[in-house]
Amino acid sequence: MNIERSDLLREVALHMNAKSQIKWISFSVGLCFLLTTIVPTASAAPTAEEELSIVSVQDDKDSCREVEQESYEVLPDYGTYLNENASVPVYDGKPIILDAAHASCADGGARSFEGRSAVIVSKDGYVTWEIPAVEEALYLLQIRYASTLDSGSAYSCEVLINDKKVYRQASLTVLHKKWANPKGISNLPARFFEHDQYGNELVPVLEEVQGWQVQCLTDSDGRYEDGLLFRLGTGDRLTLHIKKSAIAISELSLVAVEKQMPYEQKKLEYQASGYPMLSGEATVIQAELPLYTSDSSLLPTSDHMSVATQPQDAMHILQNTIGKEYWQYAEQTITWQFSVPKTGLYKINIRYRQNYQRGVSVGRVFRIDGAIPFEELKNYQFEFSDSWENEQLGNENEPFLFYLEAGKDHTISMEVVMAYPTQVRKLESTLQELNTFYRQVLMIVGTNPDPYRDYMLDSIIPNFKEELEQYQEDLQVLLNDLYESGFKRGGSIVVVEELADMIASFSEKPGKIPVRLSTFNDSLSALGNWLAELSRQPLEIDYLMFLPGNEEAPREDTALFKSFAYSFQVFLASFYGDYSSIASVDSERALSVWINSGRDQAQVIKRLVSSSFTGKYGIPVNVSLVLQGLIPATLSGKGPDIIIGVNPTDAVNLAARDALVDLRDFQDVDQAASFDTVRSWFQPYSLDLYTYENEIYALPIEEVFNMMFIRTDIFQELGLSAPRTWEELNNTISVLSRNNLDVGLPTNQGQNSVNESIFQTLLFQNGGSYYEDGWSKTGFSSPAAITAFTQWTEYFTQYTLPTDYDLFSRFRSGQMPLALNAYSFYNNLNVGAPEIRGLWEMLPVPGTIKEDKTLDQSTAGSGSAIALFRKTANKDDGWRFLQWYVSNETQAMYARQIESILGPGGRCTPATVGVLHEIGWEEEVEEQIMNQWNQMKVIPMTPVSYYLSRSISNAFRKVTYSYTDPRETLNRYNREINKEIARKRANLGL
Amino acid sequence: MKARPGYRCASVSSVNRRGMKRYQWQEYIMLLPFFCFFALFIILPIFASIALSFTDFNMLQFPKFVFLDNYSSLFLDDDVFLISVKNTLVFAFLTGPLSYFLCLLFAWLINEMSKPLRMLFTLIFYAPSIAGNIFVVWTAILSGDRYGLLNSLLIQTGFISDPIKWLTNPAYTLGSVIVVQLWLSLGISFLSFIAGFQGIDRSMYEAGAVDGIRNRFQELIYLTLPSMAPMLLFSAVMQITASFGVGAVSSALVGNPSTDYSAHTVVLHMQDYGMIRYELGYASAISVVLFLAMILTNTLIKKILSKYN
Repeated sequence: MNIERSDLLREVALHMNAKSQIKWISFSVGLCFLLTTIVPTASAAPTAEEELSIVSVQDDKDSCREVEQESYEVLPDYGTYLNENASVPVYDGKPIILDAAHASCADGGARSFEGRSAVIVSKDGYVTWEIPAVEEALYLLQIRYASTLDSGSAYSCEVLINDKKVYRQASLTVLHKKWANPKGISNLPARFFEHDQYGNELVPVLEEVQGWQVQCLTDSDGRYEDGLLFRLGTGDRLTLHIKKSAIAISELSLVAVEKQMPYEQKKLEYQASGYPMLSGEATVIQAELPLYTSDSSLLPTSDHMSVATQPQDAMHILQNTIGKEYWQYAEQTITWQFSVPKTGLYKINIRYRQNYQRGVSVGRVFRIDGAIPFEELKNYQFEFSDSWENEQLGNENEPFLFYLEAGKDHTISMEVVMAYPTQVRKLESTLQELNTFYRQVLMIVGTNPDPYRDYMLDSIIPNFKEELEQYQEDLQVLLNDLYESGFKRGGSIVVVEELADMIASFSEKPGKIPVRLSTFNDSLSALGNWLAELSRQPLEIDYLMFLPGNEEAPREDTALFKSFAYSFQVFLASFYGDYSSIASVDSERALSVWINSGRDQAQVIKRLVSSSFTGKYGIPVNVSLVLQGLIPATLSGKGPDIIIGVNPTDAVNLAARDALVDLRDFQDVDQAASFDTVRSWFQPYSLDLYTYENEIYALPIEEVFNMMFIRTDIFQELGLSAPRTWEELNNTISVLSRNNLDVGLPTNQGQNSVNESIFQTLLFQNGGSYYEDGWSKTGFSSPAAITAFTQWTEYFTQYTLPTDYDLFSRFRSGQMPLALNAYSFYNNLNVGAPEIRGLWEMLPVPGTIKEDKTLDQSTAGSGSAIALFRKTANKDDGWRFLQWYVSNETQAMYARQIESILGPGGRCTPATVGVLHEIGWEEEVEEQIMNQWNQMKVIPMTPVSYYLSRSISNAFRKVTYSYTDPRETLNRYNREINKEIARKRANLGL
Repeated sequence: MKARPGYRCASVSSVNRRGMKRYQWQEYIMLLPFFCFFALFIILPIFASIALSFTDFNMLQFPKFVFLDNYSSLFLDDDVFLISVKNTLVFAFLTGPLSYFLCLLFAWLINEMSKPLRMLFTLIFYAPSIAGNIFVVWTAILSGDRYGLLNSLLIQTGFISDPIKWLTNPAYTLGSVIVVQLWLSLGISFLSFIAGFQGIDRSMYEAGAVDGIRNRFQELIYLTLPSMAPMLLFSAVMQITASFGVGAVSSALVGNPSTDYSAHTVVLHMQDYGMIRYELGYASAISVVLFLAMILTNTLIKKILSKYN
């Protein structure tokens, strides 16, 4: 109850003798008494427990030393690598080609593939070259590769030199595939969209296209513009580790950094060659009709609001633009094909809208026929604008001219690059340093500093003054740099300005730091958020126009009256559209499927249904997006045949009332997969969640479980290693809390109930369970349950871990370097906290060592499901749908499409085991997830689950707020639960 | 009513009598659309829930007739029901009257202000109730985190050193909900009071001054309040009836059920059985009891207040 006092107590305990300790405690009891008069929760009980914790802190000093022996090896950053190799020259000669014949690969030697000699590297395979006699230098790696049409959206490629990892970015490079609309390629420039029953254009499904591609290995985060350099010398072994999908590689070249001439020089060249300035008609290509894209998610998008968008129709939704937030990650490329009527000089106009990043520009590289025409197009910036803009490529003085020849097909491509890579990189490293500084201070003053105490930070932290001045200077340099690159004072950049001011005032008055620490932390996380924003580069474009050099761009026709008339038409049309039904078929046999999920998910499912279910089996399906009212609808007979995404609580309530089909009935069904086959696709315990009275009434489609997240940098700093058991966790907590850092166990699940997953985890590891004898009574009177409950609550009473906290911001700032959470939290961190990339790890949860010396790391899982209703007319069709939907193939397609729409932040947590490998997890992460998943168990859902969860919440809160005895409290609530179970069973006629 | 001489009473009454007959069915026809909806959405559900309260109904299977079982377990077995009744009474007789008097007080104070100020304050006080579910902002204010608005304020000022779980600790939940409920309930009655104050004839105050009213308080007690009796009655009925229906705020802030049912009300108890446990028969029984209690209190209040009418 009084963290600060307990901190003082700890200090005192460590530094004073026993006598003064007793005095101090008696004083604190007095203080406590005073507090109780103000705050009713404060009770005398915790004082005794704090005495205990003093003892335990002293006790585990020795065990900590033991732990300190192991520490982390963090791969260096590319920046560090470059600094280390600053003396090595950057290669500046002709490309050195290493061909397939000289490659050694476990999957066989070079053979002929698509007209070239190539090695085919299988999924997760390696290919190695021995570097011939070359000068010792830093080289770019350029790879000529072709797709083998294997699954996966891109190749992730890791570079090993002499079988060692080089730096972090080298392990995460990506080779892109080519994606195109299969109907489009031969039809360009015709519109090739399919239409729904209302005449709206549908988003196409892109397919992979074969063909040779050449690409340099680059930083997939876009922080470094010129590609990744590797130090190579004669005799080095260079290995590429290709993950996720098989690839054909014909050659690897060691190349020099490509240099373009500036436009001024190019202009002189045009003049020297006497290229003609032309007049005449402009050539327009619609952006939504690309030749191919680098990503299956770069789909056409729709702008229904601007009348000037081409083409536009008030009554129907047209796919008339491309990009938006699907086109914001580094290296995403769109390529268009075009031809011009006359040979000569052209200007390029692009109609674009960038209304995502206020006050910030986004960057694109332009390539014409595969090459960057001149230096200015290496990072061409599009400014923020609320409305559509017509951008003529050019500099402040003049539009750029491009020499294009008539009579042949040209390509133009735009690739995402970060508009301010250097600034972002510097800001990220400054932020990381400031976070470390914050943590240093936090470790001394704690989360609740005493405003009247002088913590003497300047004498405790070495080089305190110098460091602060350094930060101040760094930030000032950065700010000036940012002003120069076009950021306006007081605009979005204000987060950096504020931070600079704050640091300045810190170095003036160090005594004020403790009081302003939480504001400082807020500013740091604001900067972190801004950086995450800044690294995204969304842009929407409508068309590209090739304008003969003498012509002026036509004025956009957006007269007020015309826009108004158009808006009114759109308004009228909105009365006709049907937005809830996603696909409807009029057929007796049709299955009615409800999706309880987001609109994007429903669209994807619908697309999958029409392309690979109805198409394949000929069973018509009606899909609708319904979020609420499943049970009332079932009651009135208007319910669906199949529900996708039903939560386990609703599912068991339906099952207990005989509304769902027992899926074991499909054991001997004359179909591709019987129930047992389908069952084997899941983790063995998955189906327990959906088992009621021995009936299995649903199949899981999504599954999450807890994993442990640790900040490796902080652990390294404190000499800690990741805890593997709960005892080790206890020690870790002690060390961390001595440094005023927290550990986060998931507790809060909104106001309603406490997150029970840690209790369940402990219960599994102690060999207990929620129910005994089916579900006729609870298992909470068992010793295992009491141990688990006591241990769980002790974390909050004795170790005083916080119960309410914002995990994301605390983990990111380092205030909470260890946390247990659902593994989907990985995605949040990955996308939302770029500044700590590579500084954290996801590991299995702590375990318990069993009698046979094995480590039990069981964890509790939960999820959502798909279920089939009894009222379904044709149950075999229903089962066919279910087994099609949960199959590896469908789920993998679903996961990939969802990820391509929502980005890596929306990565699925599938229940079908095989799918995990098909989606974009890095290999090591996937291994950790599988490791944990194999040890997942679940608590079966029953019609009284609601009562167990509320009783456990109440018991937990009783113990943690009022410090009651855990055993007695659990017993008391257990009696109530058993009473409710008996009542409910009687009610259900069991 | 006696007809006054000078009016054409005889003919009026005869036309009326005939007219009554003629008008009667026309009036009913005009009433019909409203009555249909009223019957369909109010009367029918009331009867349906009375009927269902004698059954065991799980929403999917056909209801089983159990006669008074639901009522007997409600009154004899259900501890939580008693808690919820207690809390509902706290809301009805603490929050209801308290907010009633606060409304009156604020309305009176604001009424004394100049017009622009009055407009401003009316908006400020009325805003919470027109803004719908705006009370969820209180989850940020009362967050149990160290960085929750109220907690961080109290910690900074040194009143507490550890965050208080305003929304999950049973010692605080009911208090938190009451505060939010008060804040929220100022709206409608407040507006009707202001309207009432505006509607009072100014000349009455002048006459009062002549008759020896000495200060504003006397003015309030002898003139203002008696002239506002209908408004007062309306607000009192509204406030107390509304207090019986309290639940939405509680379930949004502290959850349904709240920790140890500390802020559980009868409506929430009904929702618990109806929407979480799917025992509609039992939930109906609760709703019938609540319905009867509401009618009873309404009549009582009307009786009490009619004395002043």
